[in-house]
Amino acid sequence: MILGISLDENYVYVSTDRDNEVVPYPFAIGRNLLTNTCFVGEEAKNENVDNEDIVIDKLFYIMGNDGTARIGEISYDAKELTRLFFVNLLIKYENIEYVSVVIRQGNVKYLEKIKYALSSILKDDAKYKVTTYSEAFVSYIKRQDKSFYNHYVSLFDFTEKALTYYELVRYIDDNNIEYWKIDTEEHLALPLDLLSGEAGKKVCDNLLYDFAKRCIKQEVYSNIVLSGLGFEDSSSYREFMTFVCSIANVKTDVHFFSRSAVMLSQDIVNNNFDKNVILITDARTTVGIRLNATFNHANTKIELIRPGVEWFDIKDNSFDIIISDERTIKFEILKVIEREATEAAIELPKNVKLRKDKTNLFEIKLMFSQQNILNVILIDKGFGEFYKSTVENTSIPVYL
Amino acid sequence: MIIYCGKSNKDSFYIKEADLNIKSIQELAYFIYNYAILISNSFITKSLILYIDDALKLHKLASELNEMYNKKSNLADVLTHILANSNFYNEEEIGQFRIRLLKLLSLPEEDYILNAGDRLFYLQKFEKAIAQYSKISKNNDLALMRLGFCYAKLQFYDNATNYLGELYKRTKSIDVLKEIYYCLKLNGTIDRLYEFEDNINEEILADWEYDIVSQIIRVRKSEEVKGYEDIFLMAGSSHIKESVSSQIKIWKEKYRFIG
Repeated sequence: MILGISLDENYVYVSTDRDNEVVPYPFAIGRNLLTNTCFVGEEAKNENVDNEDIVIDKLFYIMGNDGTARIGEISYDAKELTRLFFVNLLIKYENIEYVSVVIRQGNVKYLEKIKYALSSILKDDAKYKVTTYSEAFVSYIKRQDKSFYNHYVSLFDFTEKALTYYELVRYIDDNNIEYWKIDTEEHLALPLDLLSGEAGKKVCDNLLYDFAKRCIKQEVYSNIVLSGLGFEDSSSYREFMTFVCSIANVKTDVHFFSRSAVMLSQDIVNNNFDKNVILITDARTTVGIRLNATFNHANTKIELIRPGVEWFDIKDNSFDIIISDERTIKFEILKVIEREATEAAIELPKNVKLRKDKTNLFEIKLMFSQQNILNVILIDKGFGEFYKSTVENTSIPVYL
Repeated sequence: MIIYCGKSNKDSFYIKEADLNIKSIQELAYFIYNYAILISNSFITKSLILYIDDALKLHKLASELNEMYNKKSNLADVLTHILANSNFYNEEEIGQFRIRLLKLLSLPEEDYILNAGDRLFYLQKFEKAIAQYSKISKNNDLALMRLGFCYAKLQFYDNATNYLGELYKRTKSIDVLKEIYYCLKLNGTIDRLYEFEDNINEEILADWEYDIVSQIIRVRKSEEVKGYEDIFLMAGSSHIKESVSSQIKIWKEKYRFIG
């Protein structure tokens, strides 16, 4: 069974490749202290908190703040609570072949915890993917006829807590490389409970309309997708709906992201990726990192990081270089979106002396802490058993 | 200049001629370039070619070397081919290497062995150097002296004193006697000094004493001694196991050929 899971502040939505059904689970975990059994979702939310039962319903908040919560005598950290939640969620599904979990933003605090949970449950990194809504959006579009995306495609996601806008832009650069970029997402705090009552709905319609007018800037759109519980009954938003329907075809799918996450899972399982297309989303690097160096006696630009690589999945990203006479290492940063190149430089550790016979070996580690923050670490490695490493190192953050 | 070497490689290849491990094509090239005197025809083996192929992923070079190996190509050509494909040495440097290699090969056997011993001494592979110096120490004073130094470096002061003593008998050099004095001092057997010379000027002895005390003070401030002291200070700490393991690893590397 292939699963697609989308996650927001309050709910986890699960879709499968078996049917069109989407099961929402409140993002909460509970435990009966007498039987020591765990329960998640609706069961947890409906449980009465008393001496026997404990319920933690602010899991999303705890994850984002690296918080802890006590269940009985034991205090669990956010990582363990996330694992417990997913253990008790996935147990409901049999013969899991692949799982994709998508969240709204590429925030390491959430991504890492979910990855840890899935890794410990599925025991195989090749059986799960944790990424952002944008990636699921791309998988959905890829499934459609070309007429669906021959112009811009936009998406409004209206959840319990916020309204977010996504826009697919496609372009081909001078080197004939095709880019699919999910453009700036704009957020508007628009709690769903505003919708109660006629007056609330009117206010909401006005806000949606203003927001849409602000976001939709291009001349021609092929399609507009409306997603999230906020669009469960879109008849209340007359002004907004009239506006979007006048621009392009409108498709509404309240559970768009969990269904698209299934498509993402299928794409990964079937390796359905076009190598000639570079994706630029919040889950991917928007820059290419190159190093001016000598390779086989020719001065060349070595590509250390390609644009469009999933930045939080970059694991073993270290390279060796030999430095003979320079104390500054310069990198070229190619910004794909702006189509411009800038430079960053890192100095050698002060206490490292350069030898004359090309025997100063350094390891460069490139690690992203956020999509736009690259940490460059430089470590003196000596030169094999000829010269011992001093273990001197230095690091700089590069703001991309 | 910055030379790009690619991803770090974890697999190493053991070069028995020098008792060291290399982890990259650049380290292999550096060894060939600087320690060619230690290399004989048996250096190019199937396992070295396999390492270049499997671990270093230099498939083209490995295939070319394999062909050269099967054809029993000239060693100088094989070494030069490795250097040329090492992404490390340029044409000019390789030219210099060939000239140096020819000079080495034209050395008289005794000089060749002495040179090989010296390169091993420089690498601090004292046990390997001892094997070289021993071949010619009967008639070669330099080899005899360096044998003494090698044993002193390994802290086998009795052996060091014996070799230096033999040299002193041959040369009566005051510098050699001074080295004997150091060894005896470090070994705690200074009484043996008069086995070698019974008439030593008191002023000279005072100078040597001053030198050795100064050396001891300098050594006490060294990183190595600091490392040992840190281990004692760490007694009871969780890091002590790590530090002791690291020190034992250094010793094992240093003495791995003894016995």
